[in-house]
Amino acid sequence: MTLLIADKLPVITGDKLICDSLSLELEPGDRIGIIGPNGCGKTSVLHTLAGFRKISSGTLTILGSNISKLSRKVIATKLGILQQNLNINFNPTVLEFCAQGRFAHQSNFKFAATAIQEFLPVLELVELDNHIQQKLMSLSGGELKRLQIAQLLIQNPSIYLLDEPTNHLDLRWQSKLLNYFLELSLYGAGFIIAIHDLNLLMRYCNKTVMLLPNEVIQGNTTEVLTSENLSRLYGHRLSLKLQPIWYPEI
Amino acid sequence: MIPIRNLFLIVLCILALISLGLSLSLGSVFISPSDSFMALHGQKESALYQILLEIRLPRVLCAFITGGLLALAGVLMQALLKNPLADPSILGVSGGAGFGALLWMFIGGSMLGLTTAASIGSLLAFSLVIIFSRVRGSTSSHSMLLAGVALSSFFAALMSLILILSPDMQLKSMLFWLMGDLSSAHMPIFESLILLIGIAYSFVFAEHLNIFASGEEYALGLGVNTKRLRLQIYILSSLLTATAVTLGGCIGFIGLIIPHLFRFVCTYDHRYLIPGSVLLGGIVLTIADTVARCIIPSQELPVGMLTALIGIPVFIFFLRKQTL
Repeated sequence: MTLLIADKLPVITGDKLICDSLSLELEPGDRIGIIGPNGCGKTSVLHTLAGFRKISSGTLTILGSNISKLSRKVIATKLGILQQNLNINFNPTVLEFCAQGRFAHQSNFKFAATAIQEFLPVLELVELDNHIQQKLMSLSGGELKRLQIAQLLIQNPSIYLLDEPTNHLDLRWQSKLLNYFLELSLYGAGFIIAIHDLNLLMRYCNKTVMLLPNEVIQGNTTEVLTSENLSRLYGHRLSLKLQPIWYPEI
Repeated sequence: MIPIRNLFLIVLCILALISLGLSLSLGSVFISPSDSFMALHGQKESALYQILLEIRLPRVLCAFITGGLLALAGVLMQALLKNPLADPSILGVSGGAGFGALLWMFIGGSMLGLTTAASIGSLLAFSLVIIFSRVRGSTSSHSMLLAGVALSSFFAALMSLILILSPDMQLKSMLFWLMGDLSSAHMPIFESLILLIGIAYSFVFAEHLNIFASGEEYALGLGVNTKRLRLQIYILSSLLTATAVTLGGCIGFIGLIIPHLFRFVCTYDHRYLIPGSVLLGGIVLTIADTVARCIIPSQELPVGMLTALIGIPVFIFFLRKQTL
């Protein structure tokens, strides 16, 4: 089953129209990269696809159901989003933060059980298993990003919307976590990733959406990522040189 | 081993009992615990029995319940606006409730309808805050606070107008009530019920509030229906404020300071913040009311004046500690 279908969706941020009709399909195993210069509306596209914005025209379907017919809790069991920034007003521990990832899977009357055993494999993956009682505000930027990713994995959706997932991460973590996502996609998960690093895009995303002013170019990454398109996208003459690059494996 | 947060709640429960006991004993006549015990088992016509059960007990309970109601309303409003300055009096909700109640008194309505009039006033005030703070389709907590401050002044002006137009007979009781007054207390059975419902209802949403505290989009992503949550907090906090205002008048700073105090010494987690703030609010207002009626012999001070006198230095302390 197609994981996500956006059909002629307008993307608006504030008063600004990013795109009047966005259509895309996310199949199981797809990793769609969204690229564009700062402020072009990548986050707005992700928020629209997550159903955060009111849909005035067009349709958005996730796993066969129209998103407007689903409750937020049901949506969160199918679709998870990694936010670019995290606003920490409430300063929970690493374990409490992870437990919030299970929120959609629990009833209102049952409080999030902070079952360490349940979260330990994911915390081991992001190497935060020795920090479970540490407060969020005491974590570094990279640790916080890894923890956000751990929470998303605990949420366990089929559709992952990742807003600049490699921010704050060093080369080893960029590679390790994107390889893990690649592995998840082989099991049928789908990813839509807002990203700036074209090397990572080329390596990890099989499809690409380019957000140009008043135009959206999309298709297979190898077809879309051309010198001409990139020059138009960034407003500078750019030439693309493809050569093998080395990334550490996990 | 009991977790420190649970231990803190247990300590607050013990402190609540101590403050209630002390408040029952202290006053124009000192009644020791043994005398209280004797009086309760003695004749109903005795002076001690009457002072204890018919004058002090309703008043002490009123103070505790009012403190709890205001603190809970403060917790909910601060969660709703994600702003530490949110409080029923600053947002104009207390002003709305006060205006509703004062207007009801002015037109000679019965005491039974007072809570309804105050509730309508507080809901009206909160609705106006939301409508006025909506700029280009979205509402920010800053614009809500500004709209709240403006509406607070507006309702204060309307209340002044009612006071000017009121006959002298009503004026003194109205003024005293406006400054926060618990002297005409009754047994707060209905109000206790509202507080219990408020605690139970908000406790169910404690986890939602924890998630909501980290941002609207973060909460949506994890499955919180933020639109519904906002509406629920909005109605519940208005109802709590209206009940508190009807019971004890316009008492400021409890809703603002108490949640901060609990966060400062214990935790931000709403699962503990909700019961903890209710207990702490109750304790603080019970003590403040006891001081208000004991500090000057044969004269009572309005408790709202005392909470403001204590509240402002505490507020400035938190401001300087950068915990707001």
